[in-house]
Amino acid sequence: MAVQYVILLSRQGKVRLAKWFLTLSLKEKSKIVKDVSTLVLGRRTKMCNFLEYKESKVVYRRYASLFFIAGIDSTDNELITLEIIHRYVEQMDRYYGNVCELDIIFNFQKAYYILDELLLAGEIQESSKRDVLRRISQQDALEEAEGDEEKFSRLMPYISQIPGLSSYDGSGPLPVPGSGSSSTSFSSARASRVGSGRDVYYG
Amino acid sequence: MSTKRILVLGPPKSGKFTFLKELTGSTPSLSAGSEPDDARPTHAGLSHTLALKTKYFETEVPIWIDEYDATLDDTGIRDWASSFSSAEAQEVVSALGAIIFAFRKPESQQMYVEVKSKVEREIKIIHDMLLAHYKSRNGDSPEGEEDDEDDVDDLINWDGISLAVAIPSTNATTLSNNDKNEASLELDAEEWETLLQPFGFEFIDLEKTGRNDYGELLGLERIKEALETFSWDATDASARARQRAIVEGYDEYDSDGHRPSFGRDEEGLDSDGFDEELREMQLEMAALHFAVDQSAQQSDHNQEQNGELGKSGPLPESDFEELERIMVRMKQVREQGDGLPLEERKKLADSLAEDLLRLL
Repeated sequence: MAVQYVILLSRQGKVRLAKWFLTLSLKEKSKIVKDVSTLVLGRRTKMCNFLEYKESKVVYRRYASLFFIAGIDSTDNELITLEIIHRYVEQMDRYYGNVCELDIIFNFQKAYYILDELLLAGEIQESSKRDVLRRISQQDALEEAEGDEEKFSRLMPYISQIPGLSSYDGSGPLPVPGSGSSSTSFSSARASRVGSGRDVYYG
Repeated sequence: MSTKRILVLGPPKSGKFTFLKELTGSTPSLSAGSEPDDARPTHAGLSHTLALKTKYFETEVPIWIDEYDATLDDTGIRDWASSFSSAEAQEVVSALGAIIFAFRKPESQQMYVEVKSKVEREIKIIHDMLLAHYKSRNGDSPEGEEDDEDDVDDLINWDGISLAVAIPSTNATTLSNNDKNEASLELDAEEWETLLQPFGFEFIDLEKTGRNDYGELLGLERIKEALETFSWDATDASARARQRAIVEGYDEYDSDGHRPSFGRDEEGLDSDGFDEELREMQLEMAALHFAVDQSAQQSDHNQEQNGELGKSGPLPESDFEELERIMVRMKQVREQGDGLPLEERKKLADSLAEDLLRLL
């Protein structure tokens, strides 16, 4: 049971997301995208959700002005693929909160991350809805803390070399004389986060 | 203000002003140059603005209004299409981010078939015009591999929004009129969607509100939603690059469609903006180190400087910058002086000292 690709297509015919589980050149990908888009957009509402394209099958479903399309082998089960698509939509809806096309345009990385938690090499790798969402939120928290920590640790060697700051060990605000409160608040905010960041990182 | 524009097109009396009033909250102003004895001044060439606001961006989009002659055959729209296909109009078409075709709903069953086939023909003419425009443009593009893709008859190369809006017929007083409007016929959404989809146009019934079975918005809300999905402030090149990145399947790309991790070493994981700061700081540190070295080795040259360099406390910002400049110059002089005999070096050092005095 292997999904070959997942494409999100808007009602205007714009591709909003494409995930490929097999290796193809850009030209081949563009051709598939074009052909499949034309096929799916031309379907009437009461028509079947499955259609044939070359040697494979295409499964699609329409949700809120977006078409979710999956290409599968001719030997794969279409109904299960439909369920996989539905599961993906549910996860996105839970994560974004009433997902709309704009969310996928402006926050596309998360759409990919959710799909990656769901499908690995075209196969379902996590069937628990709760686990997928938990991992994505953990990832969010980790990204945030890691980002702060990394920025601060990169600054550290230079801060200690500034005359007068050689005794600074990273705790508390930077003792920069007189120059605006902005630098102080930056460093104190980061300094206070470093501790909590480390907990998440190693915890 | 957005760089791209919306074009609202339709025959005379097709309800463009009604539609724009609903969409933007105001009616476009008629051109000052219209003749006083005109029964109805033409709406061609007027402009208006739409304010778009979403949780991700806010912009103002200029709207162009255009009209073609209402003729029984299609000469009116054909003339319009050919004028838009001319060389002078290329820029105009390239500046479009959305095309909204407005038409009146048929008032009776007898007119239904006629209206339907007329709209279909007109939309096809508009579609053909756009296709020709984008085919000729893509043919000029340096990316030769994309030329083959254009053989497929579709508008996927144009990333603009195309809508066909059905406006209630003139016998209806206003859209907000609560009286049941018997005058215009109910249009079957599915039938019209299927009719216009092959030309890339989305059918919208202006009278509808709420959501359909798929949870999609209807009517005016759908028009706004569709317009919001277009990137009004992006350049053509970045939009193309971004679209390419999407089709390739990149899950990370910046606004120019470039994958951030290509060609960078693994340490370059934080944002570009912060790298800049880091580099600046590194420069300042290097300058400071250099200054400390200089004062230790060449105290003759730096007698004027000693007061500054001898400071043990942290240096204020403005002096830092000046110092940096001076350090860079000193480094240059030092490098220059390396190959020269002592006399020349002294001369260079003296001139540098004079410059430094002047700076200070």
